[in-house]
Amino acid sequence: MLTISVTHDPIGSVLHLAGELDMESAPQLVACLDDQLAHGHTRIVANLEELAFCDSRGISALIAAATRCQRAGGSLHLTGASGTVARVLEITGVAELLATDASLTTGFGAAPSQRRPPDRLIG
Amino acid sequence: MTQFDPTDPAVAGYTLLLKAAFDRATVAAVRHQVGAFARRCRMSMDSLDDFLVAVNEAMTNAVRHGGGTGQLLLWRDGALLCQIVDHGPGFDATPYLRPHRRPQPSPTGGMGLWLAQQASDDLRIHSDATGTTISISGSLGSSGEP
Repeated sequence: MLTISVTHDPIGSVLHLAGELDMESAPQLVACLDDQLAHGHTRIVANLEELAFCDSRGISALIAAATRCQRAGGSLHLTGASGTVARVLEITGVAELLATDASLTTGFGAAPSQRRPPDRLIG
Repeated sequence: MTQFDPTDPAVAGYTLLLKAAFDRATVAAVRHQVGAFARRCRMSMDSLDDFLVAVNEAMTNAVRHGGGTGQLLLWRDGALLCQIVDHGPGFDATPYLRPHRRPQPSPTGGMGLWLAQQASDDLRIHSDATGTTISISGSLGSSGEP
């Protein structure tokens, strides 16, 4: 099961992914990104702190999302991955490909309690 | 006459822990069941994470390319052995299993079996026109015995 909440930081839209990103849940990420792009949000950070599992379908969804953001003149970067998620991103080379630019993390290092609450919940 | 298969885990004395049918909607639930058994067998956390990544990719492959459904068998001996069986059209696994050549990350896929192999101690694929069996073994380490 995957839950995605969205916050809007000065750096762009932050998608907070919680749960498991796999074959069954990957379409949720696509739908969420569609929604962001439809609202003109093309600079996206996917926060993976609460993501417990990611498989090759999740990886493909992230790559597809990044490609679409780039085509719209924006970008998609990843942050916060740990454990098995970090390992899968590392093995597949996606960690390097979608690494968070240090300049983008400004304003994003706040503890979860200090962040604005999600203004939209999907999933 | 049935041909003797030396790789049959039952013949080799393995104990069957779990036998579960799966489809697209139940891959995650079966993955969780495998995780619960592996924890009960005291597989280390790093090994368990990798084992689940590999097992999940094999199930995903069965759903996407092997007819949509499959069966998972989890065996235990000194290690865990997971077999993922489908009755799809079969395929030549060779191009997916080049350990030193990482596929280009792509929005359409093609990386699942390679990822499964990278995450496995040992992964074998037997595929012919009647279906595919992917066998994945996961070490229990020295703490494997309860």
